[in-house]
Amino acid sequence: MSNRCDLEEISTNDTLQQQSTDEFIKHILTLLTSVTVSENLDTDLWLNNNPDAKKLYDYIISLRELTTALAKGDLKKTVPGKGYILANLKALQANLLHLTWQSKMVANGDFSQRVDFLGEFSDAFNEMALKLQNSNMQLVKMATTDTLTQIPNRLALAQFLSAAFKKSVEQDTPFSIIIFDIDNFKRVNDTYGHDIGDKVLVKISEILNSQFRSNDIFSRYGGEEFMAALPGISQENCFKIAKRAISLVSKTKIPANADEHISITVSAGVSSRISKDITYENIIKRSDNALYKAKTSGKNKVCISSKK
Amino acid sequence: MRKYQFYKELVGDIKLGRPNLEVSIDLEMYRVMQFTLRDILEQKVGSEEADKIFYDAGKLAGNYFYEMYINPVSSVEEFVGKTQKALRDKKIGILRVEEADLENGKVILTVDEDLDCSGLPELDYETCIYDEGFIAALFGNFSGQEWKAKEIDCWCTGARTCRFLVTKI
Repeated sequence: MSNRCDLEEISTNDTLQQQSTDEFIKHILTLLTSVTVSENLDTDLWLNNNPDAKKLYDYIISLRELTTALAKGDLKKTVPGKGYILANLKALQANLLHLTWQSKMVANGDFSQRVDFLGEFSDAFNEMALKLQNSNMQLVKMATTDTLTQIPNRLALAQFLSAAFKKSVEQDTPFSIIIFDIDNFKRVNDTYGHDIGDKVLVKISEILNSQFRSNDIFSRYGGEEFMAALPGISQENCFKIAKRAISLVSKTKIPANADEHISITVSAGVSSRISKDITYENIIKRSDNALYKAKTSGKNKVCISSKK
Repeated sequence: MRKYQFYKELVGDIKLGRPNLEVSIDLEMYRVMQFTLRDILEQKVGSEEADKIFYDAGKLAGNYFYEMYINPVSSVEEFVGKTQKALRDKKIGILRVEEADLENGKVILTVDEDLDCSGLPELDYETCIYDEGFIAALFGNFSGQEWKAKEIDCWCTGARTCRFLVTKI
């Protein structure tokens, strides 16, 4: 009699356990597949005495929370747990966070950012960054280049002067500026027309430009005026360079038409930084005065600022 | 009088000294050297002290690395860019930034394919203590202030990437 009771009890227990396992699996499936999960579920029965079930349950909860956050675009969500699937999701989360940072960098003008961890998206991002980089370079070039002569314009010149003057003061090194002005340029325009005037500007800029180093700047300063800035060059040496440059111009014949060539001369004013200069404008002013002196004393010559 | 004080010339002219074997060694042997050294250090001075030694050694290496491959830099962007490139060129790891708020002294970054730990068996602890010191030194050199780095996720603890929280002290 008692044996029969025991057997019935075991059988009942087995049935209850089987029911419990079935419910647990059903709940796990719900966690993995359903949007909503019953919140009032008592999980203690399944988890309290079964460490592996607890591990599995916690892992799936972490997966559910992390994937929900990722699906909503919440990249800051942290969940406990480790292991292959969670680690892969966390790596994806880390990549997306880095991509967010990279996008911010691109927005701030750093077009060198490249992505190498998101397959086809990487190619698309990199293509976008490269195109932005190229477009930006073109825009910078357009904004800083004189359209006619293709040499730096006043914007580029101002940026260069500002940095070079600062460096010259900090390092106490020489810094010189030359202003060139084409002599009688109005007469060229009036006699031969603006097309030839433009041709003269291009040719003269090429000749003068060839006389400077890569770390100097030679730029279009105004209509027929050009400016060169020479870091590390003293006033005396700068004078020699300017003289050589205008001499080269005076030896050049520029074709105006099939039968006629024009001779052009250039005047120049030179000055260098002195200790009381506060900005590069001070040097420009003295160079301009020196240029005026060259213009009013016969042209085709270089004058130097006398201020020390 | 120090016998083993580190200075950059101590690394020597590797190209001259190894005309056939050149500059690289097998990563396996680098790890063997590091982990055996740590094993013995732990036996001699305990885990905590061994970690401190590794962290400080990492800082020393970070100082060297900054001077040799990062300096000079004029902006955060340039610092991050140069560091990423140098770490990749030297095959130390692939650095990615998740958050960089240097002004408020908080940076979160990850290192993929890390020299020290990628591929290690799963362990109960983060292992990249040397990296922590190394990273702290990079930020310290860049900012001129003291930083500390703490690994918060590691390959060894089941992550696929090492994540570091770097904070200004």
